[in-house]
Amino acid sequence: MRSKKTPVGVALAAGIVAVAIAAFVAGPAATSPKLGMGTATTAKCGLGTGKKATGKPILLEGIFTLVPGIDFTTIGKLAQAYFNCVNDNGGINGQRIVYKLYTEQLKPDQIAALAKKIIEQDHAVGVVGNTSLLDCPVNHKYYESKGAYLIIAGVPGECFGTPNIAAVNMGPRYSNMGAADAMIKLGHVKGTLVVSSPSAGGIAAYANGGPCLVAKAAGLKCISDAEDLPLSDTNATILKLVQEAGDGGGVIMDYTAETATALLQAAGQQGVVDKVVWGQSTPVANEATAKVGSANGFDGKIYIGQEFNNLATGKPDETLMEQLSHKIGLPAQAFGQMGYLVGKFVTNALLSVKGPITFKSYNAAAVALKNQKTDILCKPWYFWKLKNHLPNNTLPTATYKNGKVVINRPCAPVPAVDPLVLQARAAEKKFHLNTG
Amino acid sequence: MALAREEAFGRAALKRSLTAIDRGLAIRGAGITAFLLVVLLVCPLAGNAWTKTFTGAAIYAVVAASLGILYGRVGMISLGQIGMLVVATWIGARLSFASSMPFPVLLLVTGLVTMVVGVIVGLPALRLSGLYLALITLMFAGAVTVIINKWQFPNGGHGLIGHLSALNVQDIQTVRRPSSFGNDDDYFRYVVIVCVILFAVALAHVSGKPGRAWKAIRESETAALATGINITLYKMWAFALASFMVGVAGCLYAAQLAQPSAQSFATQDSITLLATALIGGIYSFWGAVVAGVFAQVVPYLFTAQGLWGWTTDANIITIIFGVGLLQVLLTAPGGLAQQFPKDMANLGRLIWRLAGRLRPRPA
Amino acid sequence: MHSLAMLAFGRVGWTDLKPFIPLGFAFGGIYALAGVGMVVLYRATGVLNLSFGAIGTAGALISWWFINHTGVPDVIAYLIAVAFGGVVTLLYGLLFGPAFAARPPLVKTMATLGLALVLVGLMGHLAPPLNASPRFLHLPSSDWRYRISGAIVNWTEIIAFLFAIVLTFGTAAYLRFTKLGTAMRALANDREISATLGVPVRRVEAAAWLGSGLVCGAAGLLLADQLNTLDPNTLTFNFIIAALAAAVLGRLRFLWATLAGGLVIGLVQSLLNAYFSWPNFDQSLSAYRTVTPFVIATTGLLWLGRRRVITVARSGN
Repeated sequence: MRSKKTPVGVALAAGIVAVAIAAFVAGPAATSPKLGMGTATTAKCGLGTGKKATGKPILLEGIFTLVPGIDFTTIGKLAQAYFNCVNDNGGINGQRIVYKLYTEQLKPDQIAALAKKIIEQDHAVGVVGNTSLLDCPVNHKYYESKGAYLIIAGVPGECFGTPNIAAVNMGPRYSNMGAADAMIKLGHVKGTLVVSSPSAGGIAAYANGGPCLVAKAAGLKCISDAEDLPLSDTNATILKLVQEAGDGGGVIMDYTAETATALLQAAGQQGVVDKVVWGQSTPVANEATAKVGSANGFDGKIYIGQEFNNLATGKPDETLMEQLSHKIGLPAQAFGQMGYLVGKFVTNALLSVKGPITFKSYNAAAVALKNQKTDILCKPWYFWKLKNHLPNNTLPTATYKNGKVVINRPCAPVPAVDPLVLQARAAEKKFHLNTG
Repeated sequence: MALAREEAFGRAALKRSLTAIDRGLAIRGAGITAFLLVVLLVCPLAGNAWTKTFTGAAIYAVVAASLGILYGRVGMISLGQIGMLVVATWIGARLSFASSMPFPVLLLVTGLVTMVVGVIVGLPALRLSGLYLALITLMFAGAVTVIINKWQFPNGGHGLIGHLSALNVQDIQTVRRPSSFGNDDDYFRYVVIVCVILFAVALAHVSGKPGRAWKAIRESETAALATGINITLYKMWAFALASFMVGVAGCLYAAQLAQPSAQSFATQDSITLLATALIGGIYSFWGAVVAGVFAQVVPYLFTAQGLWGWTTDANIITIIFGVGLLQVLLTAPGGLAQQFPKDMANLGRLIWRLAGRLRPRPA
Repeated sequence: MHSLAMLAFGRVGWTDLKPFIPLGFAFGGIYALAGVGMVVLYRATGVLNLSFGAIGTAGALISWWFINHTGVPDVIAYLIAVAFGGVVTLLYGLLFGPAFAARPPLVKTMATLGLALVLVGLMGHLAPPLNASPRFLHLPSSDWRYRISGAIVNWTEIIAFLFAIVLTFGTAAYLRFTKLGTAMRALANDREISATLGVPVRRVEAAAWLGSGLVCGAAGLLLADQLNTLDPNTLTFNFIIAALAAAVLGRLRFLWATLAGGLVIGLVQSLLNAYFSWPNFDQSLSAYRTVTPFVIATTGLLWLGRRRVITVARSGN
């Protein structure tokens, strides 16, 4: 007797055959361009050919801080995503990039050992993307002795004041200076400017010193405040900062999103938002913090020194960065922009090498980079053989509006009251480093 | 006549017991020497990162041993030993920049200054029960974290605090090491030797008069007082010895890190030290060595280095330490140092018995 | 008169100090809450629960998860946090209490550190830092604000302060006037004899564990709101030190002294914020304000212990 199952079985088999034929006939999907091939609105990764690279691997490695409460590996992950995209698009003239992330736990002796391992044991072609609270101070002399030129995202001051390290960002000191400048010129701060930074690593003296120079040049008093993280009393701290500034004064908060958002909320709770002019460094220029800021009445009242151009501008590099972020499951953020730029500039350096890619040839190419255009930065980026490096020294200022980050002052140069800024501008002029 | 016989008997027994001690001591001495030889000769061969980890482990072992003296011998708990290590590292760094005294003298001076600080810290709670001392030292550890974040570590600057910011990056110096022991492998050996000396000093105390007084105090303070032991003096002595050891260890650590950073020390580290010291074995010096390995080598192995490519994050290690602490307190208060030889002995007996069963029986 | 007042306050004016007073009482209330919870537990079981900060934080994190990832109403989520505190503490007490019953108080206390490490590790692993959008717990009572003579007070702060007072009063009355409370006091004196006299030791201990755990869960919520953070490291260890200082000032026995101690510590620490220019901007008192619990507790101990000669350790409890 024919079972009821037979017609179902026949239908199933027919379906499978149909799908197989369809897949065969359709051929490789080629209607829409792959990620990184470059379209009108999206940049391309490396050569942008859409062909997978299978050649000899190029080993790059980086060091990132990862401890409870601090996770800088996000930057490395974005750089890695960019390198993978480059590998999917022809690689470096057929060679593929292998990027390894090392994490460190804030132990100086281990960090020194890591740098040695990367260069002397793993024989990496380049040390790339390092984002660490201690790598620059501990290892910069070692990198100089080995002739390694690092393209990184910097935090402590040593990442900007040494010959062999160039950062894609400008760090807290200079983004604070940008905020201070906007607060004075657009926000009309009177009397006193208070700058508050974390005490960790002694960075407060460095990060606060810059905006204090800007304040002094404008005839204002400046108070440098350092707070121990984690903050044990955000409400009291906010009150203190406002008291220090006095009515009509300015308060710059130089904290990562975690602490800064808490401070924004505290200011709202304590009802002090209208008493002073507010400023912040880059980490709060994202939508999540914007929502908190707007909810607490900061719309138009805060000046954020944003080291990079806005997120979601629709421009090529920015769009590709967001696509890559989306691909690896991360939200679009400043960390992502940093990782992307590291990936892009390193790739450009590798592509510019004529001949075999070795430690020597890559590093020579890295230090020779100049006029690196990208819509994520205000001005083109460069490395060059200089005593210190501040290639990113022009920045827009942003504020909150209805839960979004909007630019309230387009790209403006960091005030030339700081020695590193002066030296950078002089070098740019002399060597035509960012004329575009 | 009977007296002479008894005396002869007594002398023979004494002679027997002395030879017995000699044999036990000889075996233990041989074991320690063999271990030291392995450590000094083989460890540096593993690579630079491992050498640095082992150096950290040796220093940590000394700190764990200091905790062993306080808790294992006297029954006083200090939850602020890492706080003392921070203080000692700071003092060592400051003195190293402020003077040019030879390194061994620097070690000694740092130890002495830290000793004074330690005694002052322990003073308020010396007259109260052990629990208060634990709480005061925990709060001390928290206070040290606050202060070190404000002051940061000296790096060649002037004034009491002596810290230069990143603006003066070219003037920043590293803490110096003993001349002719500058490179990591040589310095590792130097550190191990100093740590052995510290262990020997501690051992001398424990097997001498202070050790006996401490034992009496741990058993019963009232009884100790009744026998005329000056309790406050001996408690202070324990604190002084523990702080001295941590002081020397701190100076070694400052030179090991070369650029010590406040971010390397968290309040939680004092509690992790307690956990690892107990897990290793608080009543013996081998336990302190195990604690050093546990606290430094194991995290490095599983987070940075990876065991055959498998890594985990530091939080899992914290969980393991927590579980280990509970387990040690519950079942094996002597820690691994006490439990491991027992387990090995049991295993040996088990094997012997099994082998006995397998041996052909005589018909 | 005015200059005298200025001198007394160290050249910082009353208007500068005023805004920090409600904050001081709020934090002081939370420290006192936790301190009282710890002291009650210590009196009944001989255990000083050093993991309460971790438990409170975990409860607050779980509450956050419920609010942001499920449709559960906020009130239920808060109750879950309190219940979590009670349940975890009770479980620990039931599992490990009997095992450590005969050990000295120091060992019992160290065991709770093991629980603290496990919880901190779990939280760090399951709730890693979210760089772009950090976690926050915002109690609705914080939105209801009043301006009382120049200082802003919100209802969460008032609740924290009142809760501390009510808890102290209620617990003291409970211990004195109810059967279970008397049983707890008996236990604190001598566990063995109490058992012989027919006090249901296990049940009384369980009640103490549960009670202190519920307080712990509530304190965690309040602190997470007041500190505007859910970072495990912040909430766990910094919180614990101030609450311990309060318990120490109460000699691990006296509830009212614990309350007073907690309030004083919270108040002083908060008021020190106003001393940001004294003695000078670089080394100001406000920069060192988080050392307050340590200083106050140590000074208190020195003062309170000045007539003691020896310590007589008690076995079992």
